[in-house]
Amino acid sequence: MKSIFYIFLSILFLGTLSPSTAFAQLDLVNITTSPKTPGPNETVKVRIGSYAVDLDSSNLVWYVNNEPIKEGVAEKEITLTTGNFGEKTTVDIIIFTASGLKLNKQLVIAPAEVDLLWEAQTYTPPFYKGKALPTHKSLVRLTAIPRFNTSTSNPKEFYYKWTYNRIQNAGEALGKNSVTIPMGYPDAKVPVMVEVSLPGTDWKGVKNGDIQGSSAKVVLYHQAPLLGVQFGHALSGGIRTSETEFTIYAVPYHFSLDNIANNNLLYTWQINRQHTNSDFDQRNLTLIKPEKQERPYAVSFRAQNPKRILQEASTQATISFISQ
Amino acid sequence: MDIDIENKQNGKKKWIFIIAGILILIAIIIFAILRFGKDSTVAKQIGSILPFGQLSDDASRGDVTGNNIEGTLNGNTSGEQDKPLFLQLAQGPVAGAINVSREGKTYVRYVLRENGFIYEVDPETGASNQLTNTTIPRIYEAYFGNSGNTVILRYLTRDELSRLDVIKTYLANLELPTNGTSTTNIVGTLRGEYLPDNISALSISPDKKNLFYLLPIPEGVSGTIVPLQSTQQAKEVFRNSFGEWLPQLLDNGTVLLTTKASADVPGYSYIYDPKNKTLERMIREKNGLTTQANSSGTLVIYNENIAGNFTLGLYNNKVISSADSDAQNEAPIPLTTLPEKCAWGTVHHTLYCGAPLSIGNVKIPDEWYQGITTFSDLFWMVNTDTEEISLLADPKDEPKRSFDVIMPFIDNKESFLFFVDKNDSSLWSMRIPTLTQDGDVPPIDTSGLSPEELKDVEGSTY
Repeated sequence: MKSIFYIFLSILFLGTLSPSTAFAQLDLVNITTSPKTPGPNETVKVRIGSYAVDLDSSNLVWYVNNEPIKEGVAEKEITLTTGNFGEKTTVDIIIFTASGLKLNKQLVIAPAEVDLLWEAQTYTPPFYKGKALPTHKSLVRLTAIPRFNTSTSNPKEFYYKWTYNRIQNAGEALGKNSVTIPMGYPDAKVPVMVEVSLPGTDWKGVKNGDIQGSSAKVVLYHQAPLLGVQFGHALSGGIRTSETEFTIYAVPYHFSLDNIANNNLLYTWQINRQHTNSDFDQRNLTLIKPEKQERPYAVSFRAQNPKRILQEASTQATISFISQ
Repeated sequence: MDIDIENKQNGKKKWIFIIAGILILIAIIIFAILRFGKDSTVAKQIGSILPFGQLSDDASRGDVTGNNIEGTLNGNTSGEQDKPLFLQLAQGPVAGAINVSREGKTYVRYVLRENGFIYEVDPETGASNQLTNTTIPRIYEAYFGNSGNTVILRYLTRDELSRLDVIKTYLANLELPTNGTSTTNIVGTLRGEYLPDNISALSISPDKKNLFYLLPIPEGVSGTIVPLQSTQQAKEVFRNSFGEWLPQLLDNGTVLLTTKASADVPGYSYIYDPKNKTLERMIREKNGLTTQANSSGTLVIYNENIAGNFTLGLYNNKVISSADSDAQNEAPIPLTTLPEKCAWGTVHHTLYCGAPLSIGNVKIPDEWYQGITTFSDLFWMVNTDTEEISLLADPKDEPKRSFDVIMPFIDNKESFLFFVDKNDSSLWSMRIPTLTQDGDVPPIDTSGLSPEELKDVEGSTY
């Protein structure tokens, strides 16, 4: 009997969506929700009202996500629970007035969302368009961008509570939309969470995420006398040059910024497995073409951060001087 | 009898007048086409009154036959058919370039990396003139604005105390001897001002009138808009605690802000409106996300790394509403490339891209930005209305070299695709093949492709 009732309601519902429906009169009915802008997984009261249509004598049929929920004369309110972040809840109301008029009204509730952005406080070279990655014990700055409507509101109006590693408090305060946390070991994840609320209201949002640790790396580039460092083309494997001098520039990707600024990093150059002195700038090494033909220069470079010992990386390349 | 002879003579005169009239009419039409061009209003109006109809594009461009793409696809005359499909426009490495239009002709202005000199080259002939001789060595990035009369040069210096790199940004106007033209051999200079040190990223609006730059500050980042014709009116319009943005300034004054990308990190993209200070999210949580919007921001191409597979997508901002899901705004484009290797067309809803047939198992975009991996691109056209993809050219056929496309842009007539080859920073033009009567790209020679590559190509239309 119940299923027959639902089939009947569904047919009735589809019928009301036909082009002959009196859409022009839809604005006569308004829908309100409490809270005004619902959050995710939240109980919401939805109510319809009208100054032009006598809802007290009308038969009202309520659907939530296309499922019939409630039906009856003067049933002007329902209670529902919103979905998770990103899920929508659609409420349809079919109104059959005592005078025989059919009206429908739709409300879509989009749950509130919080975007959680992070940026590692690690080094990348100038003009680099990629992302700096977090490495062993590097710092990461987290930023929350809350959104309870389509556009963001002023982030300073919200109250934030930050947690990392599931239990560690990273701070909470009004307007504190950004905090800095430390990473753990390379390749380990650090779970982070931010809870956001708007004081004086029921509006709330929460966002969880994992920050994946990475390993530091070093990349060698040619530093051309007239062009500067050729960042677009890494040196690897065998390189042949017809120049009389060849300067290599080493870039320590994803090493902690503070340690680079304080010149804490240790750089080691080797040529054919023998330690060699770098140029004045320790990240540069200039090779001179030998007077007589010799075997290629097997160059290796290693960078270490003694302040965060697992931030270390090495690489190598072979440079051959050829006659023009 | 005399009357008959007179009638016959009158008849002959009549025919002579008719033939002379037709010849004069034909001469006027030919003159109009040569003088004003086939697309001119005059030529079209004349064409409309002719009994044989309008002057079609194809009629004036000649037949396209054969499968060889080498300089045979876009000729208006038989002489142009001999012009190469690809032409190298600068002999040295280039830091940036722009197309400028003058008296109906397209020229390309570019900055040499080694000394900052600016040149102007005719892409039809390859003939170039030096415009400026102000020496600034080792330019890493150059941007043009203000119809090519303003240039922004970016280079590095070293702070002797901290031994850290400092990014310098020099905004200058080209002071040319003859109203911005290059018809004289007298070389001009640059005169300008320095913007703050260590600007992390900048963007010039598609109309080239405004500049937006991001400057790191202790609280995060600050964003400033600079009108290029009155730089004194620079105004800070943006502050955010997150600083790792790549901006794209749009013609309507809004800014597309996309988080810097890494292959395995979810990226976000927002539209920032400086007038009402709102940040509206567009694209969210896509690994390796990078973006490029059209000039109005209604369409955005983006890339996404899904389980190691790199895909391109089109985000349609016009259909956005609170009731729509993100998926309704997104459509895949079956090309494997990065948005910055594409240029939006100026005339049609088209996109021109350099894209390889496949990318190996590498971390994109990280390793491409780091110069560890390079692409060997083919050239493609995407119709964003129909999502139809056409293969335009395979440079391995001609000029028999590999291109890794960066900084692509299109001339106003959509006749040329200009780009820089990331391998050596050389500047190139590619003639965009003329569409056939059916609106298709003429067939090209795919005999050099491997069976697997051919299978991929056959999946597209050409």
